[in-house]
Amino acid sequence: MGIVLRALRQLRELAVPALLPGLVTLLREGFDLSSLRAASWVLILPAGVLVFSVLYGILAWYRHTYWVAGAELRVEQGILNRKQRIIPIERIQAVDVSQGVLQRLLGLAKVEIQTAGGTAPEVVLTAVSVRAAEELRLALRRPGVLGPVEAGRAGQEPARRLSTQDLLLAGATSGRAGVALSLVGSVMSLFDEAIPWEKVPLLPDHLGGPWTVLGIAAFVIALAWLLSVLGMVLAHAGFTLRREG
Amino acid sequence: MSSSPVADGDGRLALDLAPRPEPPERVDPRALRAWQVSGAISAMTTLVVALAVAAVAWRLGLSWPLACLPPLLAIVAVPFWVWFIPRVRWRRWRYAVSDRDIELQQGVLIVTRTLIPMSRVQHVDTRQGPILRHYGLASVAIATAAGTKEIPALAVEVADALRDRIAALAGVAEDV
Repeated sequence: MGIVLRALRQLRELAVPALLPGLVTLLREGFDLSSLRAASWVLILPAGVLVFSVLYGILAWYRHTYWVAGAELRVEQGILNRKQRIIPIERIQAVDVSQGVLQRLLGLAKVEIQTAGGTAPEVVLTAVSVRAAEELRLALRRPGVLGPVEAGRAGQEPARRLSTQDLLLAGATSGRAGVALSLVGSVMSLFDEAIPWEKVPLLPDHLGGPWTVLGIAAFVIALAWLLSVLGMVLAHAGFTLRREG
Repeated sequence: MSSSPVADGDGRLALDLAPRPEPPERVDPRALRAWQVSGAISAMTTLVVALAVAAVAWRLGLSWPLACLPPLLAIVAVPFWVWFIPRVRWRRWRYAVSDRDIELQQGVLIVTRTLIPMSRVQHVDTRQGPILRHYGLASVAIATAAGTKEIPALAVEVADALRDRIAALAGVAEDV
């Protein structure tokens, strides 16, 4: 599964630059048979890249191993540039287990392990089974810092859960409207170029007046604000805080 | 560790400032060859780029003495890259690993001596690229919260043993 995910991720990174030349050729020449043949030449390169990235993914997966030995986490990875990393468990600051949509579909999880310093996690395991992730998390628990957590505790009532009302309020006041505003603005300007205004009939003459401008501005701001609320809701729905031990 | 904190008569901490000797361990002798090879590769790349620049410049109507300048500079730099710098670098590189700290000395023009207390080591890597692998070498990278320091080009067995030792020492070292 790790192979598939890795290959997919590489595909996502490579797809646009790889397919672009082919598409550009197609668009320029028009869609007939001869141009399709011309474009196919340009598409051979992306196909090669695809095969290469799949092979590379398999090899990288094969070389990427981790295990806990005594009081250390050991990670080996790399094909050309080989790397073996040892992290004393004592030095691990955080273990994050997360599941994206694809990982949830496949019953996988992503594990990120951080030590002090730096922004990037020191170890990223893109695709391990949920069980392996949980086992690793337990194995990396620092002895003596937190007492062992009894099995029953996990089902404990959460100490704090974000209510829908709070969520909406947070969204409404998040101040992210600025970001959404620029998004709406760029989309509008795209539309502005695409619509042939001079060909639209029945455009009243006073359209450029101050009230129209104000109206459009209000509309844009309201739209951006709604988007930001939506973004906040999507990002933080179901947030719960739980005390353990 | 030659300068360890000791309490004087009044109970205050005084530092024993005996001069610390140069660290004893050297980088593997094969490192020289590995560095020369990688120096040669970057020299070749630079030369090709310089030639391309010269060709374009000449095509654009630059006078030929001016156009020849970049490749000439590159050619002058080659012996430094392939010969001189790797030698000085190898002679200067020293390291020592004790139970309490890691000491590094490096630099061609500017000599840097680094001390890393064991208790500040976050994790340890060994790394091996294609050139190092060809010569049976690997480097050891020591990560602290402030960044990563690397001991380049040790024999693979030495590098592996050193990595394991540092990791074990870092795991038990407490903050002082």
